[in-house]
Amino acid sequence: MKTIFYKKSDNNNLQQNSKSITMPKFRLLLLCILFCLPAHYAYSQNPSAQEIMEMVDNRDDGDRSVADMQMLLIDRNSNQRIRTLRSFGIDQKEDRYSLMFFLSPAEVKGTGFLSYDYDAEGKDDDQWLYLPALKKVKRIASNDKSGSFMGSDFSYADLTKRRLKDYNYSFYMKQPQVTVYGEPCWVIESVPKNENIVDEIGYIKSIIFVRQDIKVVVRAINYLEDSSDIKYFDVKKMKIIDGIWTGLEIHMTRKKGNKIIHKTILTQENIRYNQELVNDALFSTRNLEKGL
Amino acid sequence: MKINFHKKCETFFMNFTAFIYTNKYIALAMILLFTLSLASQLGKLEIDTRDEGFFHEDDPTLVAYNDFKERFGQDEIFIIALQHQQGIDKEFLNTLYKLHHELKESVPYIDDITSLVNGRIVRGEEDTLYVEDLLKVPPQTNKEVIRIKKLIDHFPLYENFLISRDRTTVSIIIKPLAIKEPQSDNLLEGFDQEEVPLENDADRYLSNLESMEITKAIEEVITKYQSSDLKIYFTGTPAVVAALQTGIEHDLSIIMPLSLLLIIFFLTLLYRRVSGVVYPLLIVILSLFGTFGFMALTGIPVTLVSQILPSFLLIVGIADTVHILTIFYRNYNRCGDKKQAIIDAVGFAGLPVLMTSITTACGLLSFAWADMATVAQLGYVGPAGVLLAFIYTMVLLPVFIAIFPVKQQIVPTEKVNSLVDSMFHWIAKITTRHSLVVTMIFGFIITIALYSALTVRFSHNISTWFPENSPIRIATNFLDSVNGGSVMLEALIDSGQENGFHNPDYLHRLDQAIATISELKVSGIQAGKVWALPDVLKETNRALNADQESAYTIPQNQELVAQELILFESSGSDDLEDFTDSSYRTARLSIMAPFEDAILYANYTSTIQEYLTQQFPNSSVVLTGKIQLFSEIVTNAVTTLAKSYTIAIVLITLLMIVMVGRIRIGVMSMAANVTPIICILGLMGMNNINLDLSTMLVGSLVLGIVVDDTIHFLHHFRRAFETSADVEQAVRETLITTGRALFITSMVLCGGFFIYTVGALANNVRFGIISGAAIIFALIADFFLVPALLSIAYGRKQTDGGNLT
Repeated sequence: MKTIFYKKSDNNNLQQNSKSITMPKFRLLLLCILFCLPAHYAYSQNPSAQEIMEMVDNRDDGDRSVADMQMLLIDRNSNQRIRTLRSFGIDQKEDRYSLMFFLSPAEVKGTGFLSYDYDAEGKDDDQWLYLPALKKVKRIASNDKSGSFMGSDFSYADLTKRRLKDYNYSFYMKQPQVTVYGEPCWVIESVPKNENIVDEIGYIKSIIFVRQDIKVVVRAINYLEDSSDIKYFDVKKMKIIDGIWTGLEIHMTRKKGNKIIHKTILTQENIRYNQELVNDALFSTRNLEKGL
Repeated sequence: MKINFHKKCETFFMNFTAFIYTNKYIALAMILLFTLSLASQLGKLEIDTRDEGFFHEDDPTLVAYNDFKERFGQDEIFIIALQHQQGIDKEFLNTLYKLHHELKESVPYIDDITSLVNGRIVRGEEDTLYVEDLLKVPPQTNKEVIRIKKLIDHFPLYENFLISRDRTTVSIIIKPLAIKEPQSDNLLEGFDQEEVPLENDADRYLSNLESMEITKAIEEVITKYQSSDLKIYFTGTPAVVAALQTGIEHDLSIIMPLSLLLIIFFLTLLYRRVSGVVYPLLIVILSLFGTFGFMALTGIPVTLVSQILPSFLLIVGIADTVHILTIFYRNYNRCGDKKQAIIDAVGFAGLPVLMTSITTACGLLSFAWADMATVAQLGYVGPAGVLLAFIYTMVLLPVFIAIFPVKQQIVPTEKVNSLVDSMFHWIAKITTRHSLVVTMIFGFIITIALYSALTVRFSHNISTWFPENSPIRIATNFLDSVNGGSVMLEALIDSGQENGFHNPDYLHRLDQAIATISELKVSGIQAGKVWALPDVLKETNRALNADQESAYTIPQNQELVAQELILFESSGSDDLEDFTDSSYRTARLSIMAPFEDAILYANYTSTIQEYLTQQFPNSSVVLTGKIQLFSEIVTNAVTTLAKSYTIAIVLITLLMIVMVGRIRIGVMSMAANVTPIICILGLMGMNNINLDLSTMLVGSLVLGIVVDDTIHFLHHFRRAFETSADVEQAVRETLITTGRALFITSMVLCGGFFIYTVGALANNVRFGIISGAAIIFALIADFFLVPALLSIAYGRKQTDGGNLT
């Protein structure tokens, strides 16, 4: 296992070296794929599961982002539906604000969703919804993140950065290391520390595959609380954009045993970070109502 | 030529027995090896009482049902209904909360568990939309209880499902998995997109065994909560099926030993020898092992239908050995040479035993073409069992006699029972001298019976098979009375286009359908609950409009429908599949109705099919779910009945013709054999007893047995007639010899069938009574109708007796 001491200045090198790599993660959705490029942490040669997850958590995942997302929803009979959204994200210290609007299908165009995702323990997130046909903004009171994100196989929890302290991490005993897409990965089991967290995220446990070289979560197996189904998270394409590893194509497949129940392919285009137009004022209910 | 054939057969059986007698150890070893190899499969034998078992794998009804399960999950639900004496109060809601979570933790194969605890509610207050579980935490104050009760009233979707309309009963609904998929040990395999097809597709669906596991786990949990204050009822179609399996196991465990006792009693009475009891028992028990091993080997489960096999084979198998042993003992006592005695006995009785085995097998074989899979399985296994019993008898009896010593008994000459003999004399006189009158009396009885038989209908209502005081029946009736049902009918309405059910017009039609079907009453059946997509849409619309009741409507514009459905999909609920497919092309209309007779369901479903087809003229409507399966069982039962009775009659008539060598005598003897069946159906009609899954088998099954009596009768009659050329004398002699044997065997068969009446399941009781009665009718027909018909066919005196057979 090689030790990686990345410094921020190493980013360019990494970017150059990684041109051929087409995977990674995208920040906006923070699909827990975050990878680690920290300079100030030095871990032992054999980091513990907890240390690995800290490296993942500490990496720069971008700020003030804008992106166009496409969600391809595929049901068990291979029927396909496409939903496209434009999304914006900004960091507020440890908190995260995001704003997104449906671009298509026509029937739901302009439907908007604004969320303030708070890091503080016990503080419920704030969420607002705008339905253009109703011309009203509605605040949504719910601390449950296990529900489907806009009808996709991703849940709100999948799109929210997880609090490290909420989980116990350990290496997955059966296969602590595997190779994914030719790259060695650690396999880490993540178990929520209490029932409240299970209720909030909807998973009783997750098995997370972290790429050893760049500390990016490239795959995850999520075991649902209320079902025997399993959700497979799989980053198919990654790219470094503005120095940040960003997932371009991510698959979330809901399976019952070997059978695919439903699947969402999330692709992201036109991703830009550090955009001036993405500022604090953008993330308001007024802008949600105003639309794009 | 016929005589030559008989002689040839006799010689064959004698040579065969001599060969076995000489090579006794090899024969024994081979039979034991064969039995052991079959019996080694017994571990794989399954009991399957699922309703799906009634259908062949390619039956369109089953295909549609499985397709539904693939798309939307299980339609069958376990229902745990709670009735608290003090009503819904703080204590009760706390108990409900605890029970819900304990069930969730303890019960295997759960897809979903729903109750007021996790009932999802979407409500609006001013500009805030609340998406929450009804009982996120158990209430601590009475104020909270009042608030919860108000919320329950606010959501009509829960009424008659999670809570009864009168608010006395609260239900926990457990939806088991429809399909179990093996989990791979290799994590990475889960990411593979290719689905690995399983060897046996049917194995993917939840089996009876797993359903039983769920049932037991639920029962264990609820027993702890049951108290004088809290009554708990447990039902739902899978629970009924599980209870049925327990009932079958219970009945088999009583019927089997009793059948064995009856046989031991009968054999002891008949032979008063240890060998006379042990040999036949060993032979039938080994053939049972062989038959069940064969079932396990071929993957045929024990079902509601094939559960009759063990005791049936026991009774039929014993007859084979008795016919040969009786003659053996007589020969042996006379000559003292074991080998010659058994060779002669098999030579003499081998052919009739073979013939009767073939006819019994044909009676059972007639089921092989049945449209009901379980009945068809009986058609494969039954004949195999009967023929196995024949082979075991032919091989093992000479082997046992060759290996073990047999005591020679000098028996005094048989006492003449003057009363019985004078009765046989009287029968012979009446039937031959007044043959026309006797025949006409039978004709008259048959006409009346036929007329009354036409009123017999098919009935299939598993819940009535249980005793009235059984918990499952009480619970099922209770749920029917408080919630209006526990059985599901599902309608799939395919709009033919993506987002078809975003169209307000379609949604309004669906909403009308909910209202209409809720009120619809066909053949006494009325749904307790009907729900579909409009219900959740109306709830969402109301919540978005600050919870005003006036907004409990379907939005008028398509965009708003689509946007509200996005909200529904995103509201933390993965219940979309409860209402529609993911593309909103096909809507699901769920109907919960009382547990009723399948024949009534047939009318109900056809009315609903007709209504929905009119309501959605441009869409395709498919009905499925448990109720649809039940109603199709009726259709299949009727065709099964017609097919199996026709096939049995044709096959056995042909056999009779071949055996007696004359078309006229063959057909005539069949008339005597069909008579008891018609009489039984007539009696059922008169007493308003419907045919059910067990009694419908009686006809073909009993035909295969009663025809044996006729074969023996004709066999002896032929010999007697050859000597005397006088019908009356021949009949008299036949009655005195064979008649007595027929009487004894009929009593054993009757006893064997009447043992079924000790079963707890009503279908077993009915089967026992009807089959037993059929045997008695058959005996009467053999004693009176057969001689009368023979007399008509040959005249009272006939000189060319040699042509008879």
